[in-house]
Amino acid sequence: MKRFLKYLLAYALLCVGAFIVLYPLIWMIFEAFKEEKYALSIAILPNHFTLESLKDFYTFSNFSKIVNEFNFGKYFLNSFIVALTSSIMTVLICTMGGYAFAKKNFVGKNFLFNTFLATVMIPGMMFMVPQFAIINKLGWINTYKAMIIPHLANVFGLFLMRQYIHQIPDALFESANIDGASEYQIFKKIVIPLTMPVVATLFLLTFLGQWSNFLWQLIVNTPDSPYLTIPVGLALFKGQHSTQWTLLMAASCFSVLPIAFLFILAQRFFIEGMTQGAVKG
Amino acid sequence: MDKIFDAIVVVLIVLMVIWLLIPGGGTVNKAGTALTVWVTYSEAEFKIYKELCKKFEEDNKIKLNIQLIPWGGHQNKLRTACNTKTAPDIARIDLALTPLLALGKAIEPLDSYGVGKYKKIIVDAAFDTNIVYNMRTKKNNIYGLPDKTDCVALFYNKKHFRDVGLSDKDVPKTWEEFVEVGKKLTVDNDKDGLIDRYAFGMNNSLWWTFPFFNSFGAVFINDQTGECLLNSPKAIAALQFKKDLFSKYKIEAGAWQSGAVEPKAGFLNDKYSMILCGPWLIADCENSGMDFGIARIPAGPAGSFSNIGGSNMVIFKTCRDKKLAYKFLEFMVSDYFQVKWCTSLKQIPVNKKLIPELKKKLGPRMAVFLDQILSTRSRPKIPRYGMLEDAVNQEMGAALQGQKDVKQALTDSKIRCDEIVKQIFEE
Repeated sequence: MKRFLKYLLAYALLCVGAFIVLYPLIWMIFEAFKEEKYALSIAILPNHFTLESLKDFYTFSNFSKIVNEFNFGKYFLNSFIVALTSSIMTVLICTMGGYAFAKKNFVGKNFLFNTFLATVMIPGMMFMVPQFAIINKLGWINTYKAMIIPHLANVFGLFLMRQYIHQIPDALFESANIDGASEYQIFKKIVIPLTMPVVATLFLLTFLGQWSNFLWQLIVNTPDSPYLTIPVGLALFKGQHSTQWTLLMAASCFSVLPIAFLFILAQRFFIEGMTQGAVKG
Repeated sequence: MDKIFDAIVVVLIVLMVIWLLIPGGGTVNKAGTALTVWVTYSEAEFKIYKELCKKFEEDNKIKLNIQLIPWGGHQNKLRTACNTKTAPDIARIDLALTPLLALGKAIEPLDSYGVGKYKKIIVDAAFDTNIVYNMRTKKNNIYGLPDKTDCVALFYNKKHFRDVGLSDKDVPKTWEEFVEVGKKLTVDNDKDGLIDRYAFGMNNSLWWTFPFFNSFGAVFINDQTGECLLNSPKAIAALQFKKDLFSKYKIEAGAWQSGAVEPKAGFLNDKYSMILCGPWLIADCENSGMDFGIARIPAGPAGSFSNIGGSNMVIFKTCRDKKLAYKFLEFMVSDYFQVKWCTSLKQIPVNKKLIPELKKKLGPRMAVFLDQILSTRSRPKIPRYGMLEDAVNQEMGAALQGQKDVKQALTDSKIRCDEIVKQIFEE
């Protein structure tokens, strides 16, 4: 009985915690279905509950509006292409780089790695103007390239992969060499499978970062660009003094879907990757 | 399986190389257009704006390239564009950005185009936001024309007034009356010792405190010397009064505290009976079915004064046709444009002459704002104004929370602002 009460209390506390964490999400969903006139109302049900008043309170039209009038389908596709391509390419480049820095010997390796690491200390905003100037010179304004390529130089990802690969015993690579495996085969058969948890983590973090990247995607696209992404689209609902809350929330519901789906899919790897260092003796 | 994987890798690499070689892109200035205009309106405003601009296109036989950018990112986008010479010809900018772009030599001074004549035509405080004083040349220059102007006034819930036996006649005209009415409106309906409804909900930030400072006759910064004047007796009295609404008279809900119901949401949800807000709240109140009224800011020792908000239209140095661009700015403040714009969107005209005519057209609620706009003061025109606001907000927060004496908080604000201004002017 005592144990049961203990569990009950623990679950009750966890439920309260979960509710607090999920409340903004719940609010977003309710708001997305509300008629505009009830946008900032705290109520989630009409004052006098009837079918008619419920119809007056809630609507599906916010979702149809954002797809048909605001072109969110296109924004969604652009965001997806940018986030997916960036994530795949970042993971590939960082894994290759991390492998080279962890297991290969070449002149100036440590100096080069430390130099890369030092760049993390420079605030991202400092890169904004020079990077934009280069993109502009290359004629990449209004292209996917402009949104993807400047972010592939991910030093955090390189550091993450290098540290992880560093832990893989050298004996594995030596025996693969003795068996006559090429570099490509070692990379494919040893490095990638053994780094899967951290690859998933890096993929997820990069995807999340690119999916919600607002400023860069705003800057490298002219306002009439066909490559505008979801964060830029969402910002259009917020004016100087007023915000179209119901439309903003409906669009936000769309925008959290891939992230939620991806996290559910990869959460095992993600948690494994994040806690790898914590449980090591 | 292995071979398939390898083939996929090869195909991906080839595709990537091809993709990189494809020339891309676009430019800010679309071919075949005379002027590129970046605006930051809402979707509804943008539709009407484009419609109204057609007259200018027809009259001048040109094509405009009008583009909508989000208000939220326009400052960074413009600053990047200016640094890389990819700015549009004209842009609608936040008032606070005018001095930064002006002193950074990104926008064109319009004095030589004859913009001075608009000083008598445009709402004083709105026009004033375009005048920037250059410490080096010791000269004032005019850098734009306002396209939209706003101020705040007092919103009140008529039902709450009726509940405590008050009527429209009792709406406070002075801050003293405000306190008296506020005491009646702050109610504990169920007598449980907890207040169920507060008379007032207020914000803490400097912008929202200007109606207090202005109506007490306090000045924030001397535009020409850059000296912060917040430690003056008038400013101290204004902030002390604001603090007293919360801590002494207990008629303010503490809506400025983190985690509290913010004023707008509290007003719309029957929690607060009065708030200060701008005309943008009218639509929300009407949609919610609330019975509400609007009155001028209660008068302090200096009278009833509000603050000024809105935006300016500026011409960039890289503009392709500056004369045409200036003509376009004039078109935007013209009677034709302003009447249509303000009646379609229920907004305050920037053109003073139109106020009597539009008061009738826009109804009694908007009429209050049209009255109040003539008693407004502009913010100091200092580049990176946000830094000053952050510093003062922190000090005012400490004063409201009782961590600092009001006089001490404003003295500290002055010290911090003077340091920031000195640093900005040295740069």
